[in-house]
Amino acid sequence: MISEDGINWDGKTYSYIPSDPLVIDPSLKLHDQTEDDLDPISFEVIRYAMWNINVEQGNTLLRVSGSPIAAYGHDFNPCLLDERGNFVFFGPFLQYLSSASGSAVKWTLENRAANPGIEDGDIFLTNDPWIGAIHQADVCLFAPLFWEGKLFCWFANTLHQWDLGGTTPGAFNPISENVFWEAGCIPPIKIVEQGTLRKDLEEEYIRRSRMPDLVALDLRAQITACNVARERMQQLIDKYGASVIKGVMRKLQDNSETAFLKRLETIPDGVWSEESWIEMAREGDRGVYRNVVRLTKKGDKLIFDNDGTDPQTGGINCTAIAWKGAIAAMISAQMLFDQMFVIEGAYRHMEFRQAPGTLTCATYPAGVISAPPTVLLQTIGLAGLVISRMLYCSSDESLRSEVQSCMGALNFPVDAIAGIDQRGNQYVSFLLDPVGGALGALSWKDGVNTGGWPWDLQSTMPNVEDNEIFYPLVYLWRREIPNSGGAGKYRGGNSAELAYVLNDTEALTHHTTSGHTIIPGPGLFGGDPTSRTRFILVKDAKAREAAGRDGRMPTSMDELGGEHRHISPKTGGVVQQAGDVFLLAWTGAGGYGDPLDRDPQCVAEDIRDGHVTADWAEDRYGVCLNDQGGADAKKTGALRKRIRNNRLSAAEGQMRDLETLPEGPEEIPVSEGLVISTSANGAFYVCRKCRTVIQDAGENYKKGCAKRVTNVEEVGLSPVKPDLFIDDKIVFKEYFCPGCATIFQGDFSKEEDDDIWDIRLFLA
Amino acid sequence: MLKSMVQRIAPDVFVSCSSELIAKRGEYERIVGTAVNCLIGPVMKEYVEKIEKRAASLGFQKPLLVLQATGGVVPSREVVQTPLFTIGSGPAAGMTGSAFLANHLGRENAIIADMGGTSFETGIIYKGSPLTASETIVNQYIFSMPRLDVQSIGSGGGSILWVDEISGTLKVGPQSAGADPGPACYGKGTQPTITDANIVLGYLNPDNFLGGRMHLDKGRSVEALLPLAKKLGMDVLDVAAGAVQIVESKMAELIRQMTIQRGLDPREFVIIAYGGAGPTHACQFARELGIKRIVIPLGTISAAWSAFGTLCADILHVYEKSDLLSQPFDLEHINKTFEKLEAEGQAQLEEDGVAQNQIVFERFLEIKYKMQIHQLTVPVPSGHLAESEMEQILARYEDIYESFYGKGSAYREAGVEIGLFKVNAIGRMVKPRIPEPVSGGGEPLTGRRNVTWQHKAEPVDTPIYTGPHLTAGDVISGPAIVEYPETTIAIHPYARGSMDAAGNFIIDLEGQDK
Repeated sequence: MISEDGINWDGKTYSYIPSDPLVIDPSLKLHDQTEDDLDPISFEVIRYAMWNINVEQGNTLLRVSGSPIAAYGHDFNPCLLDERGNFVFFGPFLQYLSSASGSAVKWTLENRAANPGIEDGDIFLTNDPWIGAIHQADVCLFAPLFWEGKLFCWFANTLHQWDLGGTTPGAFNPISENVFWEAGCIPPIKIVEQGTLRKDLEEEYIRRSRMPDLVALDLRAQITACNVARERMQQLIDKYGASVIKGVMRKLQDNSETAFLKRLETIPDGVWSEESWIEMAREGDRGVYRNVVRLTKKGDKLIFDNDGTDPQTGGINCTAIAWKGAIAAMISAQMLFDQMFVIEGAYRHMEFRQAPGTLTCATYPAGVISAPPTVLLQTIGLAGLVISRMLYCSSDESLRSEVQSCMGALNFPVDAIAGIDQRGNQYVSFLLDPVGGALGALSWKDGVNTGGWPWDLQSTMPNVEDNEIFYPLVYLWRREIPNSGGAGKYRGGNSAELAYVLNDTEALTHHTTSGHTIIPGPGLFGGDPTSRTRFILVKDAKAREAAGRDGRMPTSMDELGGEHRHISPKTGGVVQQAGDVFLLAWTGAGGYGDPLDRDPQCVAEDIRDGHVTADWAEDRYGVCLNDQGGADAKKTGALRKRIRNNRLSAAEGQMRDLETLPEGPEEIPVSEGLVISTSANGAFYVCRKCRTVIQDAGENYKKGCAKRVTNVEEVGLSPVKPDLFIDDKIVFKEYFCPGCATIFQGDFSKEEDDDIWDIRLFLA
Repeated sequence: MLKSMVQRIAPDVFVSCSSELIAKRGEYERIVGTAVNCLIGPVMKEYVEKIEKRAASLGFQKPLLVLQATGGVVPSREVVQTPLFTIGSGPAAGMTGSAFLANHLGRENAIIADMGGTSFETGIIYKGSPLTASETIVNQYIFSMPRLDVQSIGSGGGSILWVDEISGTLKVGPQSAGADPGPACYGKGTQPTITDANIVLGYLNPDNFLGGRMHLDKGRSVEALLPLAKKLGMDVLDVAAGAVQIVESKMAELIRQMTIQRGLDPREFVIIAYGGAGPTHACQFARELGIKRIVIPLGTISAAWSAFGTLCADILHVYEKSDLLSQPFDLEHINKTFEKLEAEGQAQLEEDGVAQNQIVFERFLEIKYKMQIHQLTVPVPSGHLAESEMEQILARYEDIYESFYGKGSAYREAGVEIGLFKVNAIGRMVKPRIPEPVSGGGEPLTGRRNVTWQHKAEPVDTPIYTGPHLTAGDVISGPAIVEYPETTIAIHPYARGSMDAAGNFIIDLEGQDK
């Protein structure tokens, strides 16, 4: 597509954006006959069968591949698309892969129909992030199904590969400067031609890999999955007729659109914004980079833009296709949970206006292979937050119950390991334990500790015993980290950490790719931010000696000797030797609402269950325990009062005469702490607790708050000195009600930056 | 060591060691399994002791045997240590009974279809043996334990019918009205269920439910379905027929997943249908899968099919050991491992009092390609394995792999690994004899009523037979309904029913148009 500003979004320099309508060579005939008069019984029967066909495609992929990445990372997703590459179903696995498969199919329709042609029995392959992949390790296979000479529908499945070449082993590259340092991009090729796997192309494909046999095995898994689904769909068409099946596909898309629009109707028009930071674009870099997701709701449209996002750099960027997938994953989870993830209906009302040349709309040849664990996951986290901010304003209670704080998995701490295993074989992989991600708090309950990924309903953590068999490692521990979930009225889920020594090997090499080692992710509505990712190499830890000495395995960092080195979130080749310990800790989820509003009894229970420590409870929640281990009401009340006083006395901003406004008939709750109240004098942000007027509703409410600014290293759990990895000065800005000191929001930003304007309603 | 320490300090505490319970890799599944074992241990102990006491007081002198989810039995003194393995043993009993019946009928392959009030359960008997699984999921908890592979969906007589407002389509379940309040026709609840649909369609006789011990109110069924009919713009009969069609297609889908997805062709199987509602719906899902014959176990054994299944069970101990072996395989190690597991089994069976000539061992290896997670179970010949046999085992693995995943999916270049050793130690038990059926006498054809056989079809005047009046050799052409006190058999227009010499009711779909 060529956009108004003259940019050609053809998948070469700029990400592919399909023409509307698609421009397809006329030699390719499409099947678009639909039976519109479907009876509700057949619809239900066929819908169920089609869903199962797609699940079967996924399960086949899972079983045949059987790689730990598929089994635990669930880094794959099957989908069923109509003849033009619009989604019918995409499977219940990794949701953000969806945008890529649709894009791959549409590009192929527009660019391959004449040469080499699209025919029955063909299967195409691509890993090109500007055309149809999230990053180069995600290889998408997609197959057309023909009916009576016409292209009827497509099956596509994407699977993350171990290694497809490039300057570092594995699927990420912490030293990348641009795409030429990374695994190569393959625009769609016809790897299976009318049923036959092309030997020449297969060899060309696997030749680039450090682990060609496993890539070949996975290729077979993906082909088998396509074939299984295709065969099943053929049977379904035989039974019910092509136009009936096509009618069901259209109706599924229409139904999800109806559901989506019904939900949009309950939400006032407005703009919501969220941002966060990634440290280091590549090894040796000392920059910090801003990632912004902004959502505008106007009538029946949701418009997403990335205005304010920093320019592309290093290997952490994502293409427009990946960015769209990240946002769609959260729309799917928060707004289409009852529509079996038929995202197409929502896509009809979503616009993506991203500025090219940025972190989240990379132009070729920017490095993109490390996007998933960094910018992409962060974007999913931010998308979840802007959607949550918007849903909070809905008049529909069921939508407001989907409001959630930031998940811990707003980055995936990649600990890629390579070396010789205990059996003497070469290996490259990365640890999947952080799949046990911390889930965000909801607007009515705490986040689940190590609960998994919000965009994947079936994610499971690998067993330690399996990892110890697969890789030459012995774990010293793997456990939940107390206090790692952000404090709040509802607490974010806690995350976990692990530490290991080598087993039966001399050394292994670590490559790390991650973010949030210095700057935590955001909290929601005044909840505390997320915790931090940590990679620590303990040189000469003498763990074995410690174990030998008193027959007990070391269980904490304090018990380890040696030198503790913080490893940066972009490291290409740190060597762990036999006597060393490696620690990996992932981020807890952000908190929801003011921690001082948390029920003290819940804090006492958290302490009893080991999720929160007593000193942290006093510091963050202002809760003191009595001798029986319950919350001491009197002491807690006094401490909370003192904390509130401290908030205001440490805050800057004009000390003005405060006004209050009584509760009016027309109020829109816009956050846990604020409503917009309309009176004869106009519309204002008002504190929900003490009714203090904060700010004119047309302005940024933060301008009317008491504001406290703290250096990043003084905030949150396990801070690290920023100058270890970055040069910029980052601060934490907290915005309080000048009347009652309730916290409305806390933001990380550069010291000189203006206050983030996170909500603006278009009031009539 | 730890166990004896706890037992010394707290002799009354139930102690379970994961290493004794499940010697398999995977600490999560092991811990969950062991915790569940401890949770139910004390209850099970009390329960078994009560039964033993009562049995002894009635003069029973043999050891009490308890059924396991493997479909085998073990002496009660073991069960009180490992109650975990009884979870899911009920459906397993049905499978064991069905395997016995299939064998009796001379059929190697059978699909069991058990439909009750809340769920539909199915399992596969292939080449004479029930297919097994190694994991169990209870709520969100997954644990490892050997069991027969019985899978279920929430489609039963009590499944509730509702209309999805957005799509304007009819849905069935997964919510169930259960037995209380139960279907609308029970007279308590108002939610329409599959049982209500069956009443309205004429499959079920409201006056002859549970042999007439319970009267069902057809009027209430119609009343419950009416709002749905209004929303859908259909009449009540069409809603009922549609709901039944939806449920039957879901059952067919589950069976499809259990067979075709494993490389098995359902057309080579018979269906063994039981449970209150199984025989009512079997025709349609059999037809959808191209299955030609349905067997409904009847006669004197039908009412207590699971209990009968328990009588068919052998003593069975399953021994598993995780190990990771790469090529080239150490044959000595493989032989020693099997011998060790069999020695354990031998000792256990001797302790159980099984005669030497009744002891049988079955061996399996779980094999996978290198760096894969999922393993396939491959049968292994008994005795000392030689190099050539190992090669045959690997060839067998690739055959099974390709039958699961399709021709060309195997890729030996990736390297093959052994992940698990498994030995079934079996003590053969005396099997029950199936008694001759006893006809209750009386005229089989006892009435007629209108039955709607299909969505959008007109009701058909249909003969109604009283099952207990049938005798071996009787043939009934569809459409027909056969009523038994515990179940109702629906013979669709395209099918033919008959009673065999053993008192089983057979439905043939062969030769009928599909």
